[in-house]
Amino acid sequence: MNDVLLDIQDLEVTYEVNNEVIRAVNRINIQLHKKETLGIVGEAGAGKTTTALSILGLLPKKIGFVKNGKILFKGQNLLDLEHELIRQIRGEVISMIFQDPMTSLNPVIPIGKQIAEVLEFHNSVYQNSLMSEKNKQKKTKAEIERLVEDILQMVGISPSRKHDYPHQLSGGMKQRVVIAIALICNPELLIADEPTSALDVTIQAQILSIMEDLKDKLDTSMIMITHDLGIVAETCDTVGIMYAGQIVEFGTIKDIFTGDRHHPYTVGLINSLPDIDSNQDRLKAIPGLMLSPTQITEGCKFHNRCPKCFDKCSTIEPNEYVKGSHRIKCHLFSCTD
Amino acid sequence: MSIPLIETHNLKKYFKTKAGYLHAVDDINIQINKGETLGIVGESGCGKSTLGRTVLRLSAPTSGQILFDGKDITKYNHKQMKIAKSDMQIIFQDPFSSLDPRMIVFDLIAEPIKEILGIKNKKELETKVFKLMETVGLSDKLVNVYPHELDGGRRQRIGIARTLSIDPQFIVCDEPVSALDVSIQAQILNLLMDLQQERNLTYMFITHDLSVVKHISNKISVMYLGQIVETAMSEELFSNPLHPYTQALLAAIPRAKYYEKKKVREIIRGEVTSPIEPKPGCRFAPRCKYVKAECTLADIDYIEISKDHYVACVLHK
Amino acid sequence: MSDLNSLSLYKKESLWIKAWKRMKKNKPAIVGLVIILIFVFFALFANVIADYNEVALKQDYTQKLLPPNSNNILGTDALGRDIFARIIHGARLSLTLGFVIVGIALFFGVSLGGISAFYGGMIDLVIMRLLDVFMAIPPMLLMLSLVAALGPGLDKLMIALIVVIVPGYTRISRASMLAVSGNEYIEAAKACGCSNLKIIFKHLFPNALGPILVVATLSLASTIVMISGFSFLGIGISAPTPEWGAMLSEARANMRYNPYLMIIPGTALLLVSVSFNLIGDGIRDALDPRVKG
Repeated sequence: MNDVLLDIQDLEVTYEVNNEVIRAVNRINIQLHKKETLGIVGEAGAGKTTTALSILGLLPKKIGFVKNGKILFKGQNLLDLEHELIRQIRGEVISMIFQDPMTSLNPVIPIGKQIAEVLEFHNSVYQNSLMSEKNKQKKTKAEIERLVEDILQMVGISPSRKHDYPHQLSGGMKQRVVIAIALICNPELLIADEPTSALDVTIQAQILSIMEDLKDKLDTSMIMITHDLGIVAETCDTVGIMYAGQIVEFGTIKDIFTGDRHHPYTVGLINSLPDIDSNQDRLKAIPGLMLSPTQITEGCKFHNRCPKCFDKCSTIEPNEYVKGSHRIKCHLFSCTD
Repeated sequence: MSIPLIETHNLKKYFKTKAGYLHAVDDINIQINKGETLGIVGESGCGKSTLGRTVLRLSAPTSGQILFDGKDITKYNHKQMKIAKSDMQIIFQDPFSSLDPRMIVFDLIAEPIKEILGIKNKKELETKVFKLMETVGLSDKLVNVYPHELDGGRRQRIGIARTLSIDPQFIVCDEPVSALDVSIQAQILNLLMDLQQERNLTYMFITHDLSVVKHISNKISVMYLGQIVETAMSEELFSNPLHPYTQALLAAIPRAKYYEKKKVREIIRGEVTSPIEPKPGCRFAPRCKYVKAECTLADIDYIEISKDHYVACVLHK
Repeated sequence: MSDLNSLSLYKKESLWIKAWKRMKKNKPAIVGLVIILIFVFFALFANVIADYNEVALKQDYTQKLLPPNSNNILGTDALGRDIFARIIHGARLSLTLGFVIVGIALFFGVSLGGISAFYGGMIDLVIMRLLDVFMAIPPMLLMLSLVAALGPGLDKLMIALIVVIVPGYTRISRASMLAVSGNEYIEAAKACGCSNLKIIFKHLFPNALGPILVVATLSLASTIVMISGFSFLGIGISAPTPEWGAMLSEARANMRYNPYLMIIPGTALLLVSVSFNLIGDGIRDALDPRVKG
């Protein structure tokens, strides 16, 4: 069965700083099915992290606003939930891994205790309907201790190190602890925001494979936010390519990496990657820069960098071309239907 | 026959720590020919940045020689070094911290011209700065702008303009693109390659990313814990990696290609050990799947296996 | 091609001119500046407005404890002296003392801090431990014992104050310069051949200046308050010299029935210290091009 777990509809998020409106996310639509991994790819400032933060209701207060849209999680709109309820969901039903393992752990608390804290918190608060059955029984101290040891074992840290402080661990180990914290409550959705970009390649490979394993073991769905198409190709089932706050192309991994109908930005992104399996001399860079999100532009956001730009690209916003699971927001294709 | 522009002989840089000496750069021998690029690849903490800074004498070497154009610059005094610096420059990794936030673009680019070339004449300075901005692809409207108002790619272009401003022959590029977005990364790499062709520059390109270094380098050296474990011509290294660490690095890179069946990755276990007072023998041995008894007995010789392909591993003797 | 048109794009503006342009947009700082300028104006022309000996010191028992009136706009004190005249002559003394003390302390503090931060090692250790000794003694006790050892007098009081505030300045300069010197642009400057002196003055100093300036302006206010405090205690400035603290002290006897005797010098003190704080914050923001005005 392929149930939809998370369905983001027409989400629009803006930041308002110093009387300037920054349109971070512009009407995006994303679907994530149970037990699948969704990759969100884009450059800095494309709105990837903003999307993730709005799912968890963690947008900075008084600056970030959800202007429009719905975030349906198991059919319930997360944006309608009360503050208290969303707080319980965080960490228990939906949890998040942040980019920098160096700063996401508290330096003065032993790692075992930091993992246990999450359990203790969710042990005491009152239960709500979105939670899964297995979390509903109250746990004793000994049980918590055992769960902490289990999860450490699972992420590849010897349980005997649970009394260590974060500074005694290397970057890769810290990221494992962060993953342990995120997964201790058996969440149904794990959002990983660039989980490996602060790590070395060999450690990155270790962390990615641990995440993959645990995801299968715990039946968790995952959103993988990254700038690295390589990671997406290896870990994701569906992919959304984000550019200037919009999903410009969305589809299964096969849709994105094969076939010949693609958004010019996707093509540019793939071409600009140095490919170690081929012998090209120069890289095919995408010229220019992303438009500033404060600018209000007509038409396609990518038109100023697009090699295939034509007359209406700069004036009319393209509709989505849909073919099965594959969606492209570009005039090149939408004019055919 | 090409002549090496820069060479090191048994270059060492140790740092004193409470636990003993940290062998950041341990017995490194490199040679870079004029107009060519040597890629230095390794993970964080392997000493690659220290090597780059030591070669430029930004930090003093513990022992060993650095030959620039055949002359040993480790023996240079302050004055001679200042002259030598006009031929040897560095591009820094982080375009966000390597530019003084209180200086505008013009002053940033003009600074090395004033300091090293001693040009103080206003007209001359302006002509030079605008020429440089054009060379690196910065619009001349940006002269009065502060670096924090610009994006990473443009800031890195300022860094490159600063470096080029005094016409160096040799440039150490210390992870110049790792802080940038993919599409911008490609722009900067292309710019660096174009500049090399136009000006016959010699690069030492330091990076943690093997895929970046492939296109820009003639030769690549792989570094692990202060030592070079393998050096080969770029294509040779990718098609025929000999050292287990090089193989592991190559296998760990996620490929941006769709595979019908996801491949099972080969992952090396463990993490980098401490570079403080390392034991004799191969430093990669604790993580190596081919490890044998002789690996940890004595230091492994770094030998030429085939033409221009050097490796330090007991498997290849 | 770089034509003449593009050359004119570059406009040379010094750091300070730009800082002033940004400062102008900062309203609280401008209010503070205006208040201080008013005090400075009165202090400069104190003798023209009201003669020192004739008005500020001359006692007249027939005119004592008058509330504000047309002749004495702020009234008179228990000895019949014009309060307005005493306030503006007091401003002269307080502001001069404040600027001189902070100026000298800043010079020592920044130099010591700079030396500590730049050279490090043994030098750093010796300077820092020596200053720790000073910081370990309660400041009031230190000042009182210094004044006791050196003997009474304004100059001795100044020395005591400088000794007390220099350690704080040194620590802050050292910390902010250390933070700046860790930045890659310092190394970049070294790589492009700048001399040590140039690095200190062109890169290290301007970037470390912000916090130092804030502390300096803050302590300008607190120094003036401290001098007043000493005058209040009877050390330092002796009667009949007009000084705000001394005026507060003298007003004690009549504060129940003539509270304005206390309110007026107190308000002057408050205005000056708040204004300096506002200016301090303003300067810090103005010197940083990253703060949007």
